[in-house]
Amino acid sequence: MNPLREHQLMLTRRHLFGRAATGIGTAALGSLLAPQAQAAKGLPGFPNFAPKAKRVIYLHQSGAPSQMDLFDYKPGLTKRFAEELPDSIRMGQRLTGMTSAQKKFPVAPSVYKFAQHGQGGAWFSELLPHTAKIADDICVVRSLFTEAINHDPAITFIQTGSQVAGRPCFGSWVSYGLGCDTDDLPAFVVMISRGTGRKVDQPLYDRLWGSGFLPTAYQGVKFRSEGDPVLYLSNPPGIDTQKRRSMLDDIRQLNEINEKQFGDPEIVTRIRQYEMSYRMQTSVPELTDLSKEPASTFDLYGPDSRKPGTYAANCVLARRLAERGVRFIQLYHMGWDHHEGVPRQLPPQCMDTDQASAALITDLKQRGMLDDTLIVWGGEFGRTVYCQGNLSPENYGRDHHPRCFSVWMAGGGIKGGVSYGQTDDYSYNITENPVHVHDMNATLMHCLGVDHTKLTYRYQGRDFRLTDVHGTVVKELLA
Amino acid sequence: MMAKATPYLSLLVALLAARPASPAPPVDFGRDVRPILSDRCFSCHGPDESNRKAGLRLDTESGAKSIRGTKTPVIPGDPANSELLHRIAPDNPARRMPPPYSDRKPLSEKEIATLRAWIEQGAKWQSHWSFNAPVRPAEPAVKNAVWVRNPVDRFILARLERENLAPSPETDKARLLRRVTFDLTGLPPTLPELDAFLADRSPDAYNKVVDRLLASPRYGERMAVDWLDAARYADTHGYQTDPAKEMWPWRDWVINAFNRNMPYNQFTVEQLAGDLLPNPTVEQKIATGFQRNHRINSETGSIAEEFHAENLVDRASTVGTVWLGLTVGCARCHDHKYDPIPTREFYSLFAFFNSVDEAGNGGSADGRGNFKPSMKLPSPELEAQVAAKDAELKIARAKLAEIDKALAAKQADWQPTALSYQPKWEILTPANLKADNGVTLKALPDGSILTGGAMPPAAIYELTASTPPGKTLRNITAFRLELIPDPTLPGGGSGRGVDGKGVVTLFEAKVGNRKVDLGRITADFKSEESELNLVVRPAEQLKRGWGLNPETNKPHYAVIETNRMLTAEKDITFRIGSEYEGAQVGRFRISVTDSEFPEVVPDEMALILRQPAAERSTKDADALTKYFVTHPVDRRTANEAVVALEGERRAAENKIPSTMVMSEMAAPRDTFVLMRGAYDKPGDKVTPAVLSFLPPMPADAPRNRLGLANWLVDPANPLTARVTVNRYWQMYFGTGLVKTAEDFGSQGEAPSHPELLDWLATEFVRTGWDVKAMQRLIVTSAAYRQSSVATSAMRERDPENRLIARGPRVRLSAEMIRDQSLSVSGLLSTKMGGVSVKPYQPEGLWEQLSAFPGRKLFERSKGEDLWRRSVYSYWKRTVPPPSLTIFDAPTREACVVRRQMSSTPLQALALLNDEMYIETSRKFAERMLKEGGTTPEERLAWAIRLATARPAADSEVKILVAGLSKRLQQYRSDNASAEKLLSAGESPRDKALDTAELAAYTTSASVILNLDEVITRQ
Repeated sequence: MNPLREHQLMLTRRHLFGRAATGIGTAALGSLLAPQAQAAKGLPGFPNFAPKAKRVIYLHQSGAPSQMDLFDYKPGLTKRFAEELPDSIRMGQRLTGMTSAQKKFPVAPSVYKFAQHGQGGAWFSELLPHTAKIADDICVVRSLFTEAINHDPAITFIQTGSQVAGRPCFGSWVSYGLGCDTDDLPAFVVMISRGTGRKVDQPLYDRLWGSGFLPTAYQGVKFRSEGDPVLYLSNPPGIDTQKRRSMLDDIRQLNEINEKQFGDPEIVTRIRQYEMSYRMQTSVPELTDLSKEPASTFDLYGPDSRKPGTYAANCVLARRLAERGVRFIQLYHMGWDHHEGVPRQLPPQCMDTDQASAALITDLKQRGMLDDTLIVWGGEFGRTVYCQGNLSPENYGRDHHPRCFSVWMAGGGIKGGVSYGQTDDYSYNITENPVHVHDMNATLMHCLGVDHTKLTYRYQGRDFRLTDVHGTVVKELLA
Repeated sequence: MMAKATPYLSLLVALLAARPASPAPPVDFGRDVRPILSDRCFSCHGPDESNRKAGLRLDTESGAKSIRGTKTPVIPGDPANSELLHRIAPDNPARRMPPPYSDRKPLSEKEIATLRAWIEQGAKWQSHWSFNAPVRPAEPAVKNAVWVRNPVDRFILARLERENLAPSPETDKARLLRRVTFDLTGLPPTLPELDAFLADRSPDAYNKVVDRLLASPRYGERMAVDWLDAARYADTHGYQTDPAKEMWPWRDWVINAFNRNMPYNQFTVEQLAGDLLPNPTVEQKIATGFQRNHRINSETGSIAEEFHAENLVDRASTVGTVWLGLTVGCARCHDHKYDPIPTREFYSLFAFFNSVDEAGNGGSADGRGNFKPSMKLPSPELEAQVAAKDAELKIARAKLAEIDKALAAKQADWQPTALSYQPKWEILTPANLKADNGVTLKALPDGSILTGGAMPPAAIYELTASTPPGKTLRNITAFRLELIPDPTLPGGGSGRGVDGKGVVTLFEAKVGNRKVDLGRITADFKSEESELNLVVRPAEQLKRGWGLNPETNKPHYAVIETNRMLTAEKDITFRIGSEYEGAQVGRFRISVTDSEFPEVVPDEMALILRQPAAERSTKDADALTKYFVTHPVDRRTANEAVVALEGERRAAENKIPSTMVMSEMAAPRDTFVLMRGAYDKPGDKVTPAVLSFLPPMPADAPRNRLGLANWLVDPANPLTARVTVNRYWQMYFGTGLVKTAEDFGSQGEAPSHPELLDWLATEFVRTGWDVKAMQRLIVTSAAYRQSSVATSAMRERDPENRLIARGPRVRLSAEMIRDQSLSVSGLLSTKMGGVSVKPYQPEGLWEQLSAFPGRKLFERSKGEDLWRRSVYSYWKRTVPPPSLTIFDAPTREACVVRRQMSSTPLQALALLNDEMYIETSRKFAERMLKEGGTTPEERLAWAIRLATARPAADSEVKILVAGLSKRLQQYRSDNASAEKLLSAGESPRDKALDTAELAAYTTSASVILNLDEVITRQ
């Protein structure tokens, strides 16, 4: 319950009913009263100030990529191979149950070569050649940290601001606050792909795109690569568009009769939802049909982009969704949880994502959309410098590490070519400019023109928000 | 208009606005003032001591009215000198409270005026309304007494008369029957029920219907749904891989308790503390599953203490929400900002649940996926099966013991020859040679195989081998894999790599489709880097294997033993992996043996064997015996029989349903305040205790869950009865008398009808917490029986129907929508209880999010189980059934006592296109054709009546007939489409009906099931 919003809705209704008598038809009523229409408009007063970004593409790498094998270059570790992680670094911090019983915590240096790229001189490992090429468009944050140490609570935390289930996710907050720029598609779309580096990996959960205590209308709509792209989208076999239209006409006429008798605006809302569902039956297949994309698109995003359901194909869809006014586009790529065999599992993950992620930036840029699209790439926590399991010069595993990890952001409102934050020589503790998950989320909200302390929802007597009672905008990341 | 008091005040404003200006009404502290103070002031000047600013508190009368320095916040009757009003006034932005950095909105003019009027009128203080025990109010006098059917109506009518409003007329009988049937059973009335009610002209016709519905087993199923939301009931544990558990026995207990009309106090005590009652029954123990329904995180690496704390927070918060209507969880990290709940007391409440004998991350699950403590259900048949297996096991174990007696002598015979012994190997004749990636295989006359062709980084060789004709292979104890040097290979070695290197990475044997269970691997030689794990090879392992460097040009062999002796009547198929780049296997040969000692004696055993028996240490002698006993065939046979029986026994035992329950540890755990809520930052020790601002527990009550449960349902408790009857009211009217059903605290909304709420609460206690009586009371009121038709003026004045000047018009719940379509189609199964069922859902939903690609996880139920009531649908928390969540069913991850109510295009898509709704539309259409009369007009009118209970209007029938004829025409010219439409769902189709006609009626049935009226109680 948001009393402010309810009140506004009530006022709107009152106002309209007052005028309905003087001739505004039910159709107009519907368009103003429907929650979907409300969703399309967002909350009054939002954005709070001129936004830099109008939409978000959030590329979540599920399982947690290893920061010191990709972004957080630690050349000094090579000569410390297999040395015990000093207590002065570990400082008795808690470990997961998977390694807390290990007798040794030997340092496992990355086997990958690093080089500096772009004007900003950001470091990238050789596993990210394409990302390296867009170095000047992105901002790498190497000092992000989180509170959870296991996947489920950590991914729930970064997406909802709480480790415990039940809060709305980022995308739901944004679509609740800002609405949508399209009448034919949902405000918040989710797409999922599997990694090739570790095929049996962390699962995902519907709650990650759930609306928590916000109205159900704000939950993410999952687009699938098999079956209906949106659940129940297709007419059943034996009902074509013509028959569907005639059925919808029957439904509308009968609903209108009932509305005349009962006068409940909910009926008008219902009529509107049926019309929107009909439009989605056209707009969604048009959106997901990549056959009209030119060859140059697939060249840019890489060969995987021709295979539906891959991360690369989802990146192409993300751009198409962005073009059509979808507010929040969330990708999940699975397969990053490398407790063992990092050198065997990490390269395929990078192959899955590197080219397509970079292509998305390049593509948006060439279409003039990078300036008002915010892109985020990263996982739910980092990985340990010490080896989990057996260590050899060519092989090592890494456990979960919440104390520092790296993500990158780009586009609307974000300063490109910047590397922000420092970790110690072991990529274990943050030594400079720590960024809490709440700070990152506050900063992303800021780019959208939203004061993260103002986007609240009253539930159980309290005004909840994505950043709980925390979060500071990191000004240094802003363009 | 500002946040907190909005719904009430705006209503007030709306109502006032409709009347000529009148003098400011008397201000009520609890209703008008406290909400403003709570929302804008308490977070810094409230109960939370550690965060209190300037030492000022405004949540107590003494805090607000005591002088501070030279000023006093509130001076009764003296607004000019009351500092509070100065500080909230807009004229001094720099000093104005609440300060801009507080995230609290400044007070509106209206709110300031309210505070001023309150001070002018004497600043009367009251404690928060819900914290005082309800006093049974006198039933108010009303003018239109003839309208009143029971005391509920007096309260509703008195309020309406105060507002100069009249109640709406009673709704027509048909709609009333549909409304009450849904409300009490979650299903629509059947046509015979409708006809009977319409025909019954007796004055108590309606009351008879209510009694019939309350006596129906469907009543318990309907009531259970809301309780399952509150109890966060599900069929899976809810974290990460979301493994299955089994709690349906608890769910059935709930349904049964409602149907038996268990008093709510007993219902409470048994669920929170049934195990602590004297001589608890099985049922009372099952009931305690209530507090085991929460999620449990068994993710690998999760820290047990961390999630133990989370689970206890969940339990304490759930008790707070469900019984007390308090957000106690807020006090986990800091003292509650609005209600008088210090952190310490939160942990005292949490302490009641801290001594359950359980592990925070579950520990190991029983055969049904349940974590301890769990309880097996009495299951005589299955128990008999287990007993039978026990008897068999006894015999098998005795046989094994008999053999073991002779073992010492046998071992003595074996020892001297152990090191020189050579098993007899039978060379297999290879056939059907196959290899991938361009490698060729050639059989040589000695039974070996020579590889050639391409040199890929990895290849798998496949071959089928049989023994010389006429010989069945019995009791195979091992396979031998030889690597044989060949002059044609590099360096005359046995492999195709440099210097004849060749590495085996996989050895797999299959008889028919069954993989042979392989065990120990030994070799007469292996390279230093070798890893002899050729058999168990998870996908993630590095591709190492068995290599011969530097002895690549000598013959060597590895022995792969079978875990259970194998008798192969069919051919054996082998897969040999050679996946080490640049080290392809060159020439190899496979043999089998039935020898008792097939393997290369392991080095450590050889060492012991070389010592004279008399000189061996006890440890060595034991190790040798342990090694020996796994070999003799008779012992292996007897042992395998025992192992097999143990497996069968376990399988039988695992069929016995279990359910998670509560039981106390012998020695209770200590409980500590957790600083900032963190599990690893214990502070002061606390003991179980109830919230101190509420009436205390009796001195002699046990300080355990039983004491807590009894305290919750003590009539002196001001909250439990109010909170409960409010949820019942919400069930019928869509909104509770207190709209915030989950929060009766300072931040919750004040009741729209405070006297009615208190009357209902005291009535509930007076009747002995009689749940059915309370439902009867509400649904037999005139208030409930009103028509929900409203004029636009009335809707404008009271859009949310908080005054109850009309009947409720509320969308059906997710479960009701689904169950209704099953009901009207005739498919609905009335089978009650048991294992949860998996009705239709789109393919691949569980699989898409799962950790295990390619593994089929969702197995759809068959037959009747597709059409059970939704309360029995399997609830997987991380991927709940979309046909229900799309219609606002919560995810069951946390306690919910008030559902969302949304209207979205996804709902339209689900109702129009879900396979289940196409199937129910088809069956509904069959009924129209067979039962609905002979003309389209008759049939469609019949269908409208079945779906809405009321007669169809001519205008509606006209629309429906026009649509039907249009689509009928289309299906007539396109029979294939009709066939396709009618193939949805598993239920058989009536082939006697005309295909095109049935298809067309199916579309019209779908139209009817999609109408707003049909998915609404109106």
